Amino acid sequence: MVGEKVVDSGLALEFLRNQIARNRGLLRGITDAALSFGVTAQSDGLTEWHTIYIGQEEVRLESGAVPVTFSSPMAVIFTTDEALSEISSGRPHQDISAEGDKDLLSKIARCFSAPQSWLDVRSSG
Amino acid sequence: MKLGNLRNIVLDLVDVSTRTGSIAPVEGSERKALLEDLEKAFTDGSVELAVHHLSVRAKTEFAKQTISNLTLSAIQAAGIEPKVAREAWKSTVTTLAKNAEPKLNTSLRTSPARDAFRGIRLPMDQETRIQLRRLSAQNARLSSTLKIARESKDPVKALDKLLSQVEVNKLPDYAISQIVHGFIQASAWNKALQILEAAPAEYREYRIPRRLKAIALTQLGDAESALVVLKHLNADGHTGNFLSGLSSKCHIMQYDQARGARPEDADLALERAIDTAKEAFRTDAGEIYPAVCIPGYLMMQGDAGSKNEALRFSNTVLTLAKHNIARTPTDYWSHSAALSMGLIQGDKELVEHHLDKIDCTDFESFMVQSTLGNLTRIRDAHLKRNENTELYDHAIEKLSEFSRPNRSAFSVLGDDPRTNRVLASTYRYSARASRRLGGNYHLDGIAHDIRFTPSDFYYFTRVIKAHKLDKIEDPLKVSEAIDEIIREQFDTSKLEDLQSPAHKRFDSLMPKISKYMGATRRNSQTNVSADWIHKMADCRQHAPIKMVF
Repeated sequence: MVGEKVVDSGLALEFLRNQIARNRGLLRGITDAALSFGVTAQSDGLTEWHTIYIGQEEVRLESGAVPVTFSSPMAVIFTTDEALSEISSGRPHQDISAEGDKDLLSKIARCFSAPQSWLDVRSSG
Repeated sequence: MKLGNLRNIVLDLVDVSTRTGSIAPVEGSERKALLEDLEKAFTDGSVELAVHHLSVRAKTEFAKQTISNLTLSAIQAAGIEPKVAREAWKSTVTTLAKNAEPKLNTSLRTSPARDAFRGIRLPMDQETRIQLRRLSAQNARLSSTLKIARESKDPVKALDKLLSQVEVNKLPDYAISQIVHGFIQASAWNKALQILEAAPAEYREYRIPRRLKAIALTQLGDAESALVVLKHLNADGHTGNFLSGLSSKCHIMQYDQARGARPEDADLALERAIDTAKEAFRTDAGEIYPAVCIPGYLMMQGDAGSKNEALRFSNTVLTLAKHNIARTPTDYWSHSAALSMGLIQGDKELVEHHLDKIDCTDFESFMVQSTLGNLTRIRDAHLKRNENTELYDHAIEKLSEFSRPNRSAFSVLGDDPRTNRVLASTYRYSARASRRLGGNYHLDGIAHDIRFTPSDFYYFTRVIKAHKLDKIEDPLKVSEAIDEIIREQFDTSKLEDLQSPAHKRFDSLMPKISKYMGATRRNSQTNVSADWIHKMADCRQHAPIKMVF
């Protein structure tokens, strides 16, 4: 059991990216999209921005928010490092909200249904 | 993105995988390469790729499964149990999808008063928090857009695309400034001017945008409008040798426009150019620009008195140029100034010497064009009076041949090729992305981050020479000498006792200085020379400064 371990924000976001990448096929109708995360540190109140870009060929995680000029479906998620850690440890947290494309978010939610192991794709290939 | 502790855990997997026989033993350069691959995979944020680097070395399916299991254990140890996390995230994202606000809609242009509250944490109601989050998102998105645009192959096109989606007068000041500078760096002066004129009134009243507007107008050849801006800046108390120099340049542009058809207007413009350049020199007699223009302008006037004054003044400029060259041997502007003074004085040897030296500087074509424009103007004035222009012709011809596309700004910094190689790999152009050493502000300490720029390099090179450290051959003796110099500079013997009045004063003064300087936990960068010059350092700064030496 995981217990009270604090999950690094980078690892939590990588987990999300990996789940979306693994289940890219479930995002039918989406050729290009972005999911930006504004993660506020509980320690000093500073917010760091990261974006998961969902393309046809790859799902990648990059530093920075999605540009203003990005015209495909997108959503922005506001949260804290503590909330990212809690959710990734299986403890849903209140301090998370979103703005943007509801359809994109509901499709992304489907990516967390599939039961594969996180490490199957490349390690077995 | 760094993946924190997981990175260290999985790096250990190399050893565990080897010991369990899952992969063949890796030693020496092969092991180093594998560790580097793993490091890069984690820096790029890909656990999958890291596992892949290991599993491709596995000989059997069982070994691959072992690596996968070990990695999974590491991930679980880092706090994620995938099945549990998946369910929690599914529930969270489903809730977000139901409740998401459809559209960000917050004005980006905030009150300047907000800056006064930066870094102060206040309890806020939910609505205020949401507004601040939206503002943060919009600013982050804008910053990303600006960064991508300015780094793109065609920054003008990318900035134009951004401008098609925003209203300039609703952008925050930093964004307007970045757009203006983006256009200026691409020499799109007309676009920079358009933005400066479309910016909100309060932005247009700041000193720097007004200066930039004057520069843009000058670059676009509108000397008359530029002079109006400069006159208003002057009336508001914004003076200085740069602004006077720019005025002088505008007058000489008017001279160029008038000299064919309106000789009286040309003479008047030339006189004003000389007056404003002299005014600039009086403001800061140590600055070579625009003093460098004065002898040439006086020569253009052509009467005996002016010529004598030109010769006298050229000695002053030459002294300044030589002083600058001693400090920065490969500075283009100093050599071009010395070259110009050689021409004024008719000193062929001096002219040849600096033409040779210019070839070793890191000039860009616009710099040479600027010098050529000035020399051609003076040469033409001599020609008009049927005077000998042989030396000018020679210098102009040779300068015209210089062409250096794609040269690194720091490719030639000194005579020692080894130094140049080190500098070329250490610094970025103009120190826009200078390297820094981390302090401990982020841990609530008082040791700030230390920035090290080319200016620091030159400064400490002089310190080394002043203390003759470059004459000592034994490395250990150099190390001892550096320690002594640093301790003497910072007077650290008085700070050894943590309870001493000197140390208490130091501990109380440093946070006050950082507060005054606006240092934050995220950004406390200060040039390494600043510590040295202000003598404000203790053992915490000793090591970084020694590294600089």
